[in-house]
Amino acid sequence: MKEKIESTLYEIAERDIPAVPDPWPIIHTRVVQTRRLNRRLGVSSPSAKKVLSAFCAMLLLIALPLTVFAVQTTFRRETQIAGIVPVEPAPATARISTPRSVPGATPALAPTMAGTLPLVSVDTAQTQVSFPIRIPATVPNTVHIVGVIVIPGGTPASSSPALGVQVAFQSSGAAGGSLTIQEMPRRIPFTERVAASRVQQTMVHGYPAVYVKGSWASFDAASKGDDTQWDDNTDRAILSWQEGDMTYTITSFQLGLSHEDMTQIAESLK
Amino acid sequence: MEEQEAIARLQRGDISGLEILVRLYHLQAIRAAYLVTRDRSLAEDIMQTAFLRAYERIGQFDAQRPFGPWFLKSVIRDAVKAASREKRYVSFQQSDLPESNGSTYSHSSWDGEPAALLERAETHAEIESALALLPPVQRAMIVQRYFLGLGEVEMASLNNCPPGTIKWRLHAARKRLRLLLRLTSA
Repeated sequence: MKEKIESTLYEIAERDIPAVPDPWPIIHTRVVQTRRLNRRLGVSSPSAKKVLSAFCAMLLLIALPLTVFAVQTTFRRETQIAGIVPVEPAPATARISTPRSVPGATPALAPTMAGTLPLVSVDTAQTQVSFPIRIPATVPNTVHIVGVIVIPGGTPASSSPALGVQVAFQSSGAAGGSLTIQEMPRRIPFTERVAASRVQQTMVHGYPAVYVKGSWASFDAASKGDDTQWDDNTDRAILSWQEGDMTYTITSFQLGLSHEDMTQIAESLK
Repeated sequence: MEEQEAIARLQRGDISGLEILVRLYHLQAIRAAYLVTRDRSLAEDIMQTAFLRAYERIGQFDAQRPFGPWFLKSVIRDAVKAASREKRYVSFQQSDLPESNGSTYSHSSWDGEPAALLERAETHAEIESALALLPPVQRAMIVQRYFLGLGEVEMASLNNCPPGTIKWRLHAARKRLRLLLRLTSA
């Protein structure tokens, strides 16, 4: 296959772009125009750049709260219509955080469940819940399923029906990434504490969904979480949607998955 | 040596360094952009813009590293964006694949016979048609791997994700390609 694809690509490239007229004169002209424009704007000197950056930062500081407010208002209205309600950003007691000062901290599984409830096989979990447990047909090939956590409805677990399940995958790589799929047999609002401004509305198989990347993080271990703020760079993503009477939430951690990857996994649930 | 000298010159503000880089990389850049967008004028614009961006950001470039992957990353990213805007592809949804030829398929029905499927795809034309039907993101994966010859580790670095994820994305792209080959050659 490799050879056929390679030779086809080279054939297309050489056939359709056999040669290109020297692009340097055009690129040179564009570079000169850009330089001239920068000089006219006075951004050629480092001090002018600093002034311009400060001015832009000031504008951003003014515009950002207004934009966040507008997005929050619009999003809240629209998600209320769809039955999905985001939680307000209240980071001080964030449920999941990744303190930078604590390397390797793993918010992969919801901490309230991962530490206390046993992992069982899919078949065993299936006997404990009334809805069909769905497993994705496609996941990154570095992860493997480690089991299913049945979320009990009461104490002891046998006293009332299970609330749902969490299917857990772990990365076999050194990075220790993970993927979890929470399946709840009712329509429940999206209650993860996330920065509302980062929530994106999306679709999974035509159903309204929410997608968010990042997590709360404390940048100072001594602050005990008081300085928690949203960190877009944390490799953690959540995709949640309601399908019929079920609510699904996929969370990935340290797998480098994009929005499209998460959607692909979601849409492959069987 | 020529490349390193060009980068050094450019980092000193000497525009002749950019001219050397343009001569070294323009053909590879325009072809890579074209393979993703399938639009020559769009590919030309992407190539020119990428050089302009390289000129503006050369200060951030680590001269100890090869220029090609750094530069081509920007080309591929712009090409995917442009192709996605143009919507010259079929949707990523399986359900949107053409089914009018009467053939029915499922993952299980074709997973086991990729070699046979590829043997059936005798001509480059069939592979070309199937490539054109891939979503731009998947086409870009194929172009990075098979046209630019990047390894999974390099692709991971360029795409800011672990090599395992690149492996998975490539697998998905090839899988989709096989499916499209089956449909186009049926």
